[in-house]
Amino acid sequence: MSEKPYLHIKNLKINFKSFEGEKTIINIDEIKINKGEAYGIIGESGTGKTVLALSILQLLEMPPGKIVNGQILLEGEDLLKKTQKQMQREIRGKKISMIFQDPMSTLNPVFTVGEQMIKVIIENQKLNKKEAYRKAVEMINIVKLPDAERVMDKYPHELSGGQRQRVIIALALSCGAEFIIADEPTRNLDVTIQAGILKLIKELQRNLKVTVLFIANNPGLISATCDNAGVLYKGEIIEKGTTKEILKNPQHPYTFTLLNAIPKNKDTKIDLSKVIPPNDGEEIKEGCIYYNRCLKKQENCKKEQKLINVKDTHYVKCSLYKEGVNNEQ
Amino acid sequence: MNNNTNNILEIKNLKKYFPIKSGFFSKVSSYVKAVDGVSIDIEKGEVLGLVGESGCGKTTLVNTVLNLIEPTEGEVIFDGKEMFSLNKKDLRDIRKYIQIVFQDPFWSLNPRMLVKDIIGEPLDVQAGMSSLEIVPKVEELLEMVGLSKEGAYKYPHEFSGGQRQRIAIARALALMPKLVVLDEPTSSIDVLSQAQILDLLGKLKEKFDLTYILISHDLSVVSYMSDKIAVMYLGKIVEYGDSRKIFEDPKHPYTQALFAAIPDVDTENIEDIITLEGNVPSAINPPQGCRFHTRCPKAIDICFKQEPKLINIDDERLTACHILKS
Repeated sequence: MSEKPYLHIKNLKINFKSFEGEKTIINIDEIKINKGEAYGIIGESGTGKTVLALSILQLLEMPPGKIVNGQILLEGEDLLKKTQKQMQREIRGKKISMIFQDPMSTLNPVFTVGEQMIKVIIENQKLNKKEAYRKAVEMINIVKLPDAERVMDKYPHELSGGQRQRVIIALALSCGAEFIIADEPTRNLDVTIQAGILKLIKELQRNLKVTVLFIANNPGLISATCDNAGVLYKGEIIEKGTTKEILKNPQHPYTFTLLNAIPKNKDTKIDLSKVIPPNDGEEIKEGCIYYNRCLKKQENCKKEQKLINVKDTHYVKCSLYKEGVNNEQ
Repeated sequence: MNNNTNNILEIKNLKKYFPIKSGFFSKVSSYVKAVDGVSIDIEKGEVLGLVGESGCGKTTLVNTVLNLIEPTEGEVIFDGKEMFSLNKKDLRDIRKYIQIVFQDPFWSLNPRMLVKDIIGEPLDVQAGMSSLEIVPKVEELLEMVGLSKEGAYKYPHEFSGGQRQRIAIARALALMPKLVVLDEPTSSIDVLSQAQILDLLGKLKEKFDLTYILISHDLSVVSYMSDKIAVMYLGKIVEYGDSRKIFEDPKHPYTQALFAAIPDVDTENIEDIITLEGNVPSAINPPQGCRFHTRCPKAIDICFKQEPKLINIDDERLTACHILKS
């Protein structure tokens, strides 16, 4: 990774305030995403995947959210230093767009698809209505919805879930965004429809050279679409590397657990003793975030953990591994 | 499907059409054929997985079997009794033995009721237990599903998703049912809790000799739990048989497409995923001939004209496809 990364998240720490005091929700050492690549974030619900996505676009509500420190560099520019106005004018829609998980609530039900797309295009680009219409039709064709003109006249409820998600992708790309954050884009969609959306996102990444940050809780989705990925647990990236390396040869006890908890077939029973850690383990304030549920914990885990390079681009945040030593298992 | 005394549930040619009313006098103009001639037998102690895209009639089928909605045609025989000819009292008695666990434990548990009342309600209504008897029974049920008995005096919001689903399971098992319908039991909880719930369901099945009907669109869950699976498309069963065999070697083009559409950790290339073109056609006017022909990559002439029958193609496997006939 000698070239300069397109998106570079450095030492990002985000706290949330509540009645019980401040709690760290995101604590990421480093994520590097190269231009034109698809990067995956794997994590269960509640690990901070969406908070991370929202913080890149500065859409996080503050308070209760608070950025303690860190940088989010987009092509070398720190997004966190920009004002909301600058974000709105320069970044959102033009450089970075987001696809949310629920296509029903992202589109306005009282306007047709065409009206919504034209409004967005006119607001962001200096085009008149006719040009904007043409542009919108072009975008709908890109996302492979048949009968673009007819789709333009439809209301969101007249479209199926998959079609709605395609409209949203068209909308995301309509102002020339070159970076798309897809936050569980196929949740609530049927598997056959999901396959279509995954293929579309992959095609956009390959053909239009769009950079994609793909967030999902299903490792299978990441495996099919992304080149590199990180595993998020309670706001920390605990393992990262190429998707293949992480999923085929997981090193962190958590990743191992996660992958082994996915049912395979009738003849391979899930061994709960290997998979499910005792939930009531001792909580520690410092040190490894996974300590209380880890099956391989040791004294060293109570110290602060660093990302350790185990192989090529494969990093693990776990004290079972040591820097510079052959960590092959 | 032969007559077998071991069958706990026999569904015979079950149909459910929902009328669509239009015009000033609400004349019935057409029907949504949600379930259109389904026959399945379920043996005692078996797990039947029901698979299909949303809108294919899985939930309608189950609701009809539970007698929550009235069928248009057909019979359901539960434990030797024909369900639709029962009078109210007999029906109420038989409902004890059929329970359901719903998809979303956030909606299926009343937020204003204590857990002891949620689980205790069926014991009160159906078994007529006094409140003194109910509390120890509830505590016993809670411990059975792996929660502590102090939980009886808490409200649902004090539990996590996985724990709530355990409460829903405890409620379903309170009356010692024979058949439990699991409608997407793990779709709203994360992978680790899912593994625990699946393990729990497996153990309870052994312990109480239960029979499950499992509805899920997560095929890995279905393959993990089921003995038999039935694949539904537009209100009809297109493939039915032994779960292992079907997962190893799906025969019907729809089953093949459905399985190939799902990426797992072994999927390295997006090209390995096969997409079905188009959407599920409307159940109001299902396509002529084979209902799948509009999306089938292997459709031949006869598929456009004649509806295939569900026939045996090898031991314990039924498919409805013209190509597989020969």
